[in-house]
Amino acid sequence: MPEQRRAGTAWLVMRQSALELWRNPLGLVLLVVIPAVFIGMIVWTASEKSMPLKLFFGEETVSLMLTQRQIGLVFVCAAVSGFLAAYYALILFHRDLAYFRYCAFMGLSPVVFTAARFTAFVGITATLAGITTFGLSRVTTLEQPFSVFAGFLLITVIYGAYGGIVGVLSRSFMPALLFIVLLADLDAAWLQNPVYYSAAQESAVIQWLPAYYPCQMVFAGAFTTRHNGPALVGALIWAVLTLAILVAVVQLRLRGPLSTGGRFDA
Amino acid sequence: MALERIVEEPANAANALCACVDLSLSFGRHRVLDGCNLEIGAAQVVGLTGENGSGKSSLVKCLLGFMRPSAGQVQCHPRAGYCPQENVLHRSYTVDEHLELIASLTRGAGPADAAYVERCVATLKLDRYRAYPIHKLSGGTYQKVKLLTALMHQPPLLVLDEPTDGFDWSMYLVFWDLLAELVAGGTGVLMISHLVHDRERFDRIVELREGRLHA
Repeated sequence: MPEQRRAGTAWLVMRQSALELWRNPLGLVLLVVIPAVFIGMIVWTASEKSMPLKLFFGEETVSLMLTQRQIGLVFVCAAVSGFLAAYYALILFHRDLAYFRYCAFMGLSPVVFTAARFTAFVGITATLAGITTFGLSRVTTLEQPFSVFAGFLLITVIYGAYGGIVGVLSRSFMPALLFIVLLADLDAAWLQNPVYYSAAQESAVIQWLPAYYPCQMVFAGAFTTRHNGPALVGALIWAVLTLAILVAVVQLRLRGPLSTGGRFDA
Repeated sequence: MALERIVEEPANAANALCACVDLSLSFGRHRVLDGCNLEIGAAQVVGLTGENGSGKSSLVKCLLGFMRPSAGQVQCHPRAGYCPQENVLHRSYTVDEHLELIASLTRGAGPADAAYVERCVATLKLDRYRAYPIHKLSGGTYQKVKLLTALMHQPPLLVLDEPTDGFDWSMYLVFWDLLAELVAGGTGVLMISHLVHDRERFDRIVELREGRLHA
């Protein structure tokens, strides 16, 4: 019986999490406008000039000749899907967190809360990955659409978890949002992208960026017929680590006693 | 000799629904609470008053476990109902969605009794607002939803922080009727207000001044 009640509460939290996102008109507008604007800008402005791009299949390095437009499209799609996933996670795990802390006081299990929010969150990340893959497929030919989708899905999970972590730890929405924009911009849009940063692929630091392995998966899926197993493993490790940190910080924030000196609504 | 005395007797925690002994709380070098002793028993209405910023809400949060006190002991019933001063309700939900979620929480006993919740909804005249988004409620109606949230599991202890803010006179009277009914059933109440009217409605009123409780 208690398990049934928990499942009922989990279903309610999950349903209402989806409603929260649905009732956020700005979020719905961004979901369409941001991918459309960024993909459109690359299609409109990037050149067809070819340049080499290194793909890392574990120990083996493969050099592909791709147009600047193709490279720009993948990195912009990665940055856009990462940013949007982090933004939605911010809504789920930052806004109204005080309400769920109150619910936890009233008996809501932090485990039930996290599981229900996480399920709603995965629904969003899958939708985002689907939209991005579809958008990319409209402007370039994809060799393995499912691998591309999987790569974008992992980007959205990793960035979503990052957005959730920042949201739970931050007291204010705007600084949290700026942290998300900062990392999404530095990572996929700039440091990894040889179109905008010529030394990108020579720098070892890019391998430590959260979108590095999923981007490698997307490039392999989009422009080769090979599966990039090592990149999948790296991306999964990133996803598991960031999700574990998210679960831990949510648990800490929902369980009392709360921080000394903190306000209930802080 | 002072007319008022500082409450110094240790709380008889064994029989109390909520008690604290020598409770102190400091924020850095600023001492907010200094050796507070308080006890709320069954069927008691205790008023906690004090100036703005005197630490009333901090004391309550220490009692309920939302804040960790710097020193002292706290014991409180795990099923306490709490109406916070802050506007914590979820802005995106309707009143019904909020009530449905809170009612489903078991609080170590069972979900809220649906018939009782319906009766409270009618008593607090919330029927017509059930489908309203919470962010569109007026201040008084929002306060009623917060109060109902604290009441709906019929807790043995109610901690109400400025619960009548925004109430009109008739709702103020309804509030006291509702409270009288609960107290008659054995519920203990700690009510925080910077202004305590109707002193005869309270069994005891304590004032928090300079970090200490005065009877």
